[in-house]
Amino acid sequence: MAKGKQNQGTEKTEKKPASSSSGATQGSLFRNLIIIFLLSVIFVGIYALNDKRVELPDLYNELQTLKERPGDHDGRINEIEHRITEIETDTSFFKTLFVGYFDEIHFVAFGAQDQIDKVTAEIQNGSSAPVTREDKLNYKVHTYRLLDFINANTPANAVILLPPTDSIVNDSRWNYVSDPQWVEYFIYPRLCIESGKESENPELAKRITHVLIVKGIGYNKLKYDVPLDKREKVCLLPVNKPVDVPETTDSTQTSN
Amino acid sequence: MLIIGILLCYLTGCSVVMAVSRRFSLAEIIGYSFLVGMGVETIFLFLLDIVQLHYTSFLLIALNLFVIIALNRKFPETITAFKEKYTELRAGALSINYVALFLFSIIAYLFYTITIKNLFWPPAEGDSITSFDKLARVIAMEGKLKISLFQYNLQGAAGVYPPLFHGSFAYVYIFGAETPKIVITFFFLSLLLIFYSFVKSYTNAIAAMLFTLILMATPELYAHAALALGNMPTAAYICGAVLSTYMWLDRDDEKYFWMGAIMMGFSVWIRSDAIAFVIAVLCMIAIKVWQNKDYKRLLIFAVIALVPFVSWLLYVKLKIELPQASRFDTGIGYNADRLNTMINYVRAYLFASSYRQVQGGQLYGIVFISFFVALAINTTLAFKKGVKTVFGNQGMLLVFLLIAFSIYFTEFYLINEAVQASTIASLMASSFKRGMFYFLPVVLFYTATCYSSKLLFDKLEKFRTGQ
Repeated sequence: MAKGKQNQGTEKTEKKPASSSSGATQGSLFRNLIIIFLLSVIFVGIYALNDKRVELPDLYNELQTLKERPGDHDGRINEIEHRITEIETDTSFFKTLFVGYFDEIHFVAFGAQDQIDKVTAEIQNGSSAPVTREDKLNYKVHTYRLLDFINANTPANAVILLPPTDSIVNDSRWNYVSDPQWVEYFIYPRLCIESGKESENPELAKRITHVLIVKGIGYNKLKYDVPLDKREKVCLLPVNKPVDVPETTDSTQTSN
Repeated sequence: MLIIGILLCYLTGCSVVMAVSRRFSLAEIIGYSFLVGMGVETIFLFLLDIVQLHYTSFLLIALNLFVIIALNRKFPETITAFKEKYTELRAGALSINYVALFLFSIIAYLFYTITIKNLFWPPAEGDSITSFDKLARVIAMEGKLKISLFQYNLQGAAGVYPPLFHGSFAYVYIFGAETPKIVITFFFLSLLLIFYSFVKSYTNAIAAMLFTLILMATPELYAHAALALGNMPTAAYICGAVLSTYMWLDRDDEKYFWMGAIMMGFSVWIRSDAIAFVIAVLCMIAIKVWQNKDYKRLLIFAVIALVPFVSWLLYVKLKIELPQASRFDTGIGYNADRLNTMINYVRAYLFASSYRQVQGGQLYGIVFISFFVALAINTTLAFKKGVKTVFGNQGMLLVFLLIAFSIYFTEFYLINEAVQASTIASLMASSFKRGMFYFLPVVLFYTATCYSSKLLFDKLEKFRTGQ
């Protein structure tokens, strides 16, 4: 490509500063150590500026636990919230510049391996089985088992009707389960469509084979009736009545 | 098989780089090789899709071998070039710069920790699941770019993005990867190596290591080195493109002209909105062309940089045939509220202030602040020493930054919120924020190599060496 002119610029690239990295052989090791010491002091100083943030993960964990646990913990909750606010708002302009570095060094650089070990131990739960991609996804995506259940119990050409977004929007447990773009990742080659959006994709709507019922919503999309006492809150049902299954039971039904 | 795939990608990229010139530094060769190699792999995927050949690892191996052999007809010369580099490296190793070594060890540690985090977790980010990784897995399974999901509008927002990023994921899946995040590590490594080698060629090893450390440790960028998202890889291509072009303009070194053009082409092959940087780079070249009247160069650069962009536009229009409403509302006119919201976010990012949920300092640390401080010091010095002495050719970089940022800002100002299904505040807090990555290497390059920094680091070096 540039063969003819390859040498043209090479002489000019020699234009390096006079002070290029000549080694300690020319200077003194002592001077190098002084600079290293000064840099270390700066780095440690930057780290120490925001070291109160070390407490944050434990405080947030405790706060969440207390909020989920029944009983009167208002006193402790107020105390924790006050401490969190105190740490989070301790942000002079200078400190703010280095908060991100602190989090990155403390929680990622120093904490990555510990976090991985902790998650691995939690997933393995006492066994020594290797942790798979599915295990990790199950750890990160709390609806993974449900999505995996869809794969295990439907044919590859199934089309799943997902619950409408407005039915689950305020419930973080079901985050994204109504989003076809998101669910598709886990269930491909099966396809999916959101309930209420059938008109946007009529071809796909005609091919719906199963209905994913969440929070008991979606029974009206089935072409048969399920007795009220047999209705599960979370289940996957074929859209047409299964011919080989007695009316009162359903082999594809599951609870989550 | 995965190792073969990665190795072939590096070798193909290296062959292209060596065909441009055998006189790149080792850091440049390694850094460029992956970026160019992955760019070429996705061109293979694109062309195979056009001729309707199903992707297989063996087909890709054959194509790579063909390119490697075709470009290495002068293989002995390449070997000689590598031997020379090895000799230089050995000679350099005898004179250890302990300060640079200390900084390097911190970089290596940070790189190691983010890599183990990156490789442990499979992609789980929203954009990756709804788009990038989904596209990649299905492309690898169906063996084509125009996958079946387009038929049902289930491809996700990145379905119309150029294929370099999700194509790189698809490439490693084709070679049997369980998760594709290994490529994120290589993109990050390439970004750091290229940035280091450019700063090093203008200053000394300590400054180059220190600013590489500052770049890598930029909180938001560092976090993205463990996420399956395309912004950091795009920053790597833009870094290579802009700094190579600047090097060519500043030192009239031919090899950087070609690398600049190639990297610019790949920048729009990874994200179409990088077109803002193509325009800004062309303006930077135009300033030079205005002086030397070498219009041919400008034309060649523009063609190489724009062909991928145009090819992808045609592909989306003619092959994917996706009905699209325009992302931009050019009839928006003057909207004070919108402009005000955008300016507040920009102020938060650039001046480390806070606005709504954004804490600029937490995201970009000292990067932009140090740039403005350096700029202020240089401006003051320019009164004493003269503008030409203090700014020299770096004025071109400042012009580039100004134009690129203005176009980038305008792109967001014109975005149609309804089509994007997102408010401008939400776009500023997410997409715009991540797009700031593209400016980081250039901004830090200026800070590291400007007149005042050079004075400072020259003094430090003199102290260190006792001269």
